[in-house]
Amino acid sequence: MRSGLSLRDVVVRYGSVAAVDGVSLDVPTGSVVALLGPSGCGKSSLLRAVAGLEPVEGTVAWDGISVAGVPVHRRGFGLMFQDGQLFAHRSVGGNVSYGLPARSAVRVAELLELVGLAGYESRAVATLSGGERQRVALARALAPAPRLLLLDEPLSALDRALRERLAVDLRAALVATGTTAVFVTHDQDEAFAVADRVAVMASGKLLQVDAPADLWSRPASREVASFLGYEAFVPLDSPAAAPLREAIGARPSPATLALAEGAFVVGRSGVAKGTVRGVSSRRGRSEVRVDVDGIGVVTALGPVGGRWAAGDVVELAVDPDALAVLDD
Amino acid sequence: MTVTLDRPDAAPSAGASGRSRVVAFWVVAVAVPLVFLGLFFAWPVVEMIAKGFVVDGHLDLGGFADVFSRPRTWRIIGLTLAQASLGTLLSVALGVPGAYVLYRHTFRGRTLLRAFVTVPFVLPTVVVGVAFRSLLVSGGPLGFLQLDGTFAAIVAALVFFNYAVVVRAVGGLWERLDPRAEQAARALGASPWRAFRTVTLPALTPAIASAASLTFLYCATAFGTVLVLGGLQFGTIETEIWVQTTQFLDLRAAAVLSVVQLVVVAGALAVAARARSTRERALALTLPDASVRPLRLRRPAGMPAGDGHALTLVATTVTAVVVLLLALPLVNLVVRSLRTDAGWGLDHYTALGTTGGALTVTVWQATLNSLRVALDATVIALVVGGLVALVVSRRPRRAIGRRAVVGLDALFMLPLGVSAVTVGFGFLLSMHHPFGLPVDLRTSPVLVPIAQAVVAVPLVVRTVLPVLRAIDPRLREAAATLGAAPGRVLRTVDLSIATRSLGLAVGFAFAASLGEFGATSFLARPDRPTLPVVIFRLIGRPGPESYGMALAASVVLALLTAGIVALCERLRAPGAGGEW
Repeated sequence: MRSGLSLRDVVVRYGSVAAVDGVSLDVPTGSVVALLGPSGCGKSSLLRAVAGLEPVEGTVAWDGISVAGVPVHRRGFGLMFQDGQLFAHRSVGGNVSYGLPARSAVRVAELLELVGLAGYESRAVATLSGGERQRVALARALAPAPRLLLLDEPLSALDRALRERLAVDLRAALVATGTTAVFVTHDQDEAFAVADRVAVMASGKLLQVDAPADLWSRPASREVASFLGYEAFVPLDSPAAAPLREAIGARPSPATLALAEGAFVVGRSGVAKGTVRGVSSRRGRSEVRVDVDGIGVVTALGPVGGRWAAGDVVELAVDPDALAVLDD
Repeated sequence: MTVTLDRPDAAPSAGASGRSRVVAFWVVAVAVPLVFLGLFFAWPVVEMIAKGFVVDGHLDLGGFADVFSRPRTWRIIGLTLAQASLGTLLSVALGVPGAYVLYRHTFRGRTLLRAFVTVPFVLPTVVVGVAFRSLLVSGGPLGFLQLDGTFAAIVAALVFFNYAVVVRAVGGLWERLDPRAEQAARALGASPWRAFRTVTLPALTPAIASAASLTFLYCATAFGTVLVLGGLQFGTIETEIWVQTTQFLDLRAAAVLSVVQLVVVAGALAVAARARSTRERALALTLPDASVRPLRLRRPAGMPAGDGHALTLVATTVTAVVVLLLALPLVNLVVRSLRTDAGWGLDHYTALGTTGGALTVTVWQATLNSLRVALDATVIALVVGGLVALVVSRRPRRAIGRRAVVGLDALFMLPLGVSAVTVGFGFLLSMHHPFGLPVDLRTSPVLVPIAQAVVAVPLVVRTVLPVLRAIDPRLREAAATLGAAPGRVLRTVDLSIATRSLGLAVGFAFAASLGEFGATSFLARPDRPTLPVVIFRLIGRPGPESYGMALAASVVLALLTAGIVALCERLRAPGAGGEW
């Protein structure tokens, strides 16, 4: 018997359109899996189907027992929405205690402390900031100790700094409570920060399921690689790929080499040359769009304070961590 | 932190029994209103109409040809449409500036003013009629206009009555309309007037259309007001049904006219439903705080000329005049009720403790009677209307279910416009040995509250339904994933949120029932008349004493109704208004 959640050939249809098209996935007890994909890929539909909010074909099982006949409120699967969906007519404490038996003030206090909102019990929901609302929503979802917590883009509505901070807090809260969770997001950084394993989804199908580091270094296909942020693809045996091959110690083969942003680094000396097309800056570091012969326009990283103009020819070094060989 | 997973394994059988309870609940929720309306609305109406078309057990549609060949019929239909159209047009023309001033601006006394313009809407129609007559009769403050018993007087009374419908519906949307769309238009070079015409007005159109069709409905089916003001010369289809039934005993003509009215009403309701569905489509809405500005009569410093201040001034002036005109009949009613032969005094109010020589009970007894009946009617209307709103607010997954919901919605709106006179008279016909049972329900005191509840149900539905529809379905899903069974979701989400609009629903139902006259005039037993029935009887009698008593009784009825609505409105949370 498998422990935790197992999905087999799950299909979710809206009318004649299959939003989820034959997905099989296992989420062992205590682990956190992120469902990563572009908007409209069916990841939220899959989540809602697991929660029991959409009719589903195929098997959704917990500890090997199908939950097909079990209504939403008996599944013991919690769900946290993108916009929280807090009950505006209840206080913060009233929201958190919703899924708890009566007189669980101590537990409410514990949960609010866990999400960093100790003492917020009697506050009105309308007085909370966006980040505080999501923290309350998380505390509320964790309160009944769901055997599985489903999180539907819980951080997407927040601004970036807050999102990055909350992603860390979220991971900490899930680990602290030992909660099994499925986390839906379209942001790969978020997925990598929160999840033990990441499942990449597109057009209703799962493309690859792996630990974050493995996913990054060995994307299963060009589609997965593009979604993770790999921006250029060259055959491993092409002449332009020679300096890259050297950097990772690969031999020429018909396989494809994928280059992420920063595969090239602008420096005084290098192994390749590129023509500058444009420059932008992110967090102080320069990002230089360079045109490399035989590869195309890619984003190279430059040192802080570097100055280039369009048309300059620059020397490029290679960062092997931003390169991946695709199997197909 | 310890996490306990103390959860009984979810057995499918437990789910199944839960599901059958859910199904049972919804069956009851659909069946109760259907049976109620079938028994106390459809059946009496059908019975009444059948009386006109079934002769000796055969269907005879000859009544149509006969009634339509009478010039009187065409005159009445023409009058009905003319006064309803004019009344609607004027209500909208005055109500839109009113909505702008009362909902898009803040000023001292705004809450009071908003409450004040609502007063005419909840006033019993008979009171509105009496108030206008006392204003327009020769010797009254506006007697020199010689408008008593004219078409213009009727239209004025209808506008008086329906102004609030437009102001509340349009204002409710306008105050939440995101002002940035209009600001974008201004930044693109549009003048304030052009920005209003091309951006704001189209956004408001659904609310305006919805309010206009409701106003049309109220005007076209006006009964008490028109009966009091129109005399024999003017009337609506509704008063004509009453005249044909009670004066000429011509049931065939009454039946034909009921059908005609049904067609008019169905048309207006169809327009209203269309307007509503457009309205429930997503508009860029915001919180009222973001769009509301203080009202300034002088152009604020730093605001250039031509920046829309003139528009605000025009709207403010129009609204100020309207408010004065609204106050005039009410103030006059109170003043006249205090005037006696010997000058001023409370003589007419003292006389309310007597039968005035003509009534079967004292006016105070009739008042008590009205309150009791209204209480019963309100409870019935809340139960039935609440269930209807709950059922109709659902969005079933399957297309057939969605269509059924739309059908139910339309069905339960029908009592809003179907002739109350037809309902009342139909009660008399159908409750005589109902289903062949050897009981005569016509003498039963429960008939009056039931008939009034039939009239009040649509008001409850229209107040509660928008609030229920506005609940994000994911809120219910969130509750379910937290382990709440369907019953608990209903209680803690739907009911908790709808309760905030319930106060207003209670107020409207109570007001509608207190002032109901069309059906009650048939059903009230002689020894237990309601207040509107007594007032109508009093103004029908010659003599200044009876008239004075009618005025005093009207003031009492007006104060009661307005007081109860004001009380109920205080109980509701801000912004939980629904459509009114």
